Amino acid sequence: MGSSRSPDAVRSRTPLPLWLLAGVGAVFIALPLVGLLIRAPWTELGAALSGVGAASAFRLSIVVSLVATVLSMLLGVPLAWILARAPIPGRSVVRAIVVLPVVLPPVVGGIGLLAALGRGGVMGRWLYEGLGIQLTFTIWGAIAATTFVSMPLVVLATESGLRSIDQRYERAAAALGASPRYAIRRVVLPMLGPQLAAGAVLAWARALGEFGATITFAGNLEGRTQTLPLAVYEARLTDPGGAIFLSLILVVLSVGVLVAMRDRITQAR
Amino acid sequence: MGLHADFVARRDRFEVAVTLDVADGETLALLGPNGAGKSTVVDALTGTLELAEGTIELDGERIDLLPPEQRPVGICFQDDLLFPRLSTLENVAFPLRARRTEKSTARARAAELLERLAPDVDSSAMPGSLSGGERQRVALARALAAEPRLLLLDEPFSNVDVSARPGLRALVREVALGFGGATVLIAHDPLDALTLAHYVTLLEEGRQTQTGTPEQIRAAPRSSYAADLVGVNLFTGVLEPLEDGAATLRTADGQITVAPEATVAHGSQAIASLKPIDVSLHMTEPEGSARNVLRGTIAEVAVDGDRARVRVDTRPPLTAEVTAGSVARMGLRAGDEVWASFKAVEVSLQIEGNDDEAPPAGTLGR
Repeated sequence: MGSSRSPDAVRSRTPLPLWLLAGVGAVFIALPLVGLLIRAPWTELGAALSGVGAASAFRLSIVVSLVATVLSMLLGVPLAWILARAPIPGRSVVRAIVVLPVVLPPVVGGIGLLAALGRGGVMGRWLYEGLGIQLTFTIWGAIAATTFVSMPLVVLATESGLRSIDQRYERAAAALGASPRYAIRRVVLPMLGPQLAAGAVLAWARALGEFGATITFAGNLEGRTQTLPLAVYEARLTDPGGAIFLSLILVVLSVGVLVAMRDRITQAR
Repeated sequence: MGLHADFVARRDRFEVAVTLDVADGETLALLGPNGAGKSTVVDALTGTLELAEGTIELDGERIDLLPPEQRPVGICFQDDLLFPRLSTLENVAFPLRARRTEKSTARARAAELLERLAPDVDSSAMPGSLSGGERQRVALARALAAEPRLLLLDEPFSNVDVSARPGLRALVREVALGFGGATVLIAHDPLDALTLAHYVTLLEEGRQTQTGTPEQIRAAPRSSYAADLVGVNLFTGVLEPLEDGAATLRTADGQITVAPEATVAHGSQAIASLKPIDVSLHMTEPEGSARNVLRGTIAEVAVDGDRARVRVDTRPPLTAEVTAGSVARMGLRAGDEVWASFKAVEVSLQIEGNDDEAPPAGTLGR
C-alpha cells in the first residue's frame, strides 16, 4: 500500500500529535550534538587536542574496539551456535547468563572482572602468580572489559539469525554428502551473512563507547587503558574544550559505524 | 543388487515400519496420504534420522550405520531446498565438492548435468531467481551429481506450477529410466506413482498396506485408501481435437472423449485418469449428457463393505465403483452385458507434449 501512495498522501493521514511527539524526540537527540558543535572552542583546536592526549586515546580506542570485536565474533558466534542448535541442558539459564552484560550496569561488570581476573582475583591470582600475566592496568584489561560488554550483542544477533534459518537446509546438505563442518561453511554461514555483519557492527559500536567496565577493571592510564570515552571523562573538568573535541571525534566515529552498518546490510541483500 | 531396507524408525511417538526392495534400474513409488510417514522413511534412508531397529543395505552393503554424508544417496527434495547463497552451478557441484572432488572437475560435471537437465537455466543465476520448475530441474541435477547408487525423489512435482509439470514429469521419467541404481519416488499423487514406477508400495499410518506393480494394485486394491487413490482408470494415447473444444483420446484398446482445459495439438500424447466413482453402470443404453457411453461385459464384481468395484471389458476397459445396494438391485454379475457411462469433464488429463517419443507403454501396462 505504501509504495502505491505518494508521500504527501501518507503524510496527510498521519495524526498531528504523532508529528509533534516525533519532532520533540528528534530535537532531543539532535540538540546535544548541536551543543557540542556550538560550544567547541574551534580557535584552540590544536592546543586542546594535544593537551588531552587525543592521539593516543584515539589510537587506543580503535585498537581496543577492533580487537574486542574480533574476539566477540570468534567466541560469540560458536556460542550462539551451541545455544541455537545443540541439545544442551539448562539452555535458557545459559542464555540468560551470556546475555547478562547487555542489561548489567558496566561498572558492575568491571567489579566482577576485578574479582575474577584482577591480580588478587579468583583466576587472576593464578594467572599472575603462575604465568606472570596481569590484565589490570594494561591494554589487555581494556580489551577484556570491552569484549565482556560487546560479545553478548554478537550472540544475540547470530542466534536470532540461526533460528530464522530453516534447519532442513543443514539436513539437505548432510544428505547430499556434506560433513557438518562443510555444511556450516558453504551453506549456513553464507545464509547468516547479514546477521553476522549486523552483530559485528553492533559489537564494534558498543566497544567504541565502552566506559564503565573499562575504567573499573583496567583503570584510566593515558596511553595504556585510556580510550576516548575515558579521556573525555577525565578532561571534562580540567579542560572542557578538549573534552568537547574528544566527544566530537567519538561522534564522527559513531556516525561512520552507522553508515558502515547501512552499507553492509544493503550489500548483503 | 539394489536397495534392501527393512527397518523401524520413530519420530516423536510416531512409528514407521517398512520393508523396501528395489532392484538396480527399477523405481519404487512410496505412495501415501500426508502424515503417513513418507518423510520419516526418506530421513531414515538419507541417515538424518537414526533407525530404531533393522537395517538398510545398498548393493549388499549395510549403509544404516554410516553418517548421512557417507551414504551413496542422491536426493531431490520436496521443496527443492536449493542452497540460496550458492549459484545454480555451485548447487549442482555441491555433492561433489562436499566429497572432496577437485573444484574444476566438480564444476565441469555440474555444467554438463545442467546442460542435460536444465538447458534453459543460467548456471550463474542464484536459485531465488528461478521458477519452481527450473529449481526442481536443478535439484534433480544436484541429486545426480555425485553418481549415487540410490536416488530419492521426494514429491518432485509438489511445488511446481501445473504448466511446468508435463516437461518435468517427462524428465523425471527419463532420469529414472536411465539411472543405473535403485530409485525411490515419494508421491502423494497416485498418477505420478502409477505412471513413473515399476512397483508401488502404499504407506498408511506408518505401515505398508500393499505392495505390487501398478497394475496389480489397480486391479485389486486392498484398502479403501488404495481403492480411492490408486484404483483409478488410466488411459494413455494420442489426442485428436474435436470441433467443439473436446478431444478424442485414442488408446491402444479403444477411445474415449475428454475435455482438455486448453486447445490441444493434434497428435499430443496424453495420460488420462478417471475415478471409478465417476463411472455409472446401466442395464440399458442410457440417455443423458454423458459423452462417453461404452458397452461391455462385466469381468468381475468385488464387493467391499457397502461399496463394490465392477470391472467391465469395454474398449478401453473400465472399473466402476457403485454401492453394494445397486449391485444387488441391478443383479450385476460377471458375464452380464452392461452400459458404462461417464462425462468427458470427469476425465483428468496430463498432456505430455507432442514429440515423437511414445510414452513407455511398459510403464503403464506392467
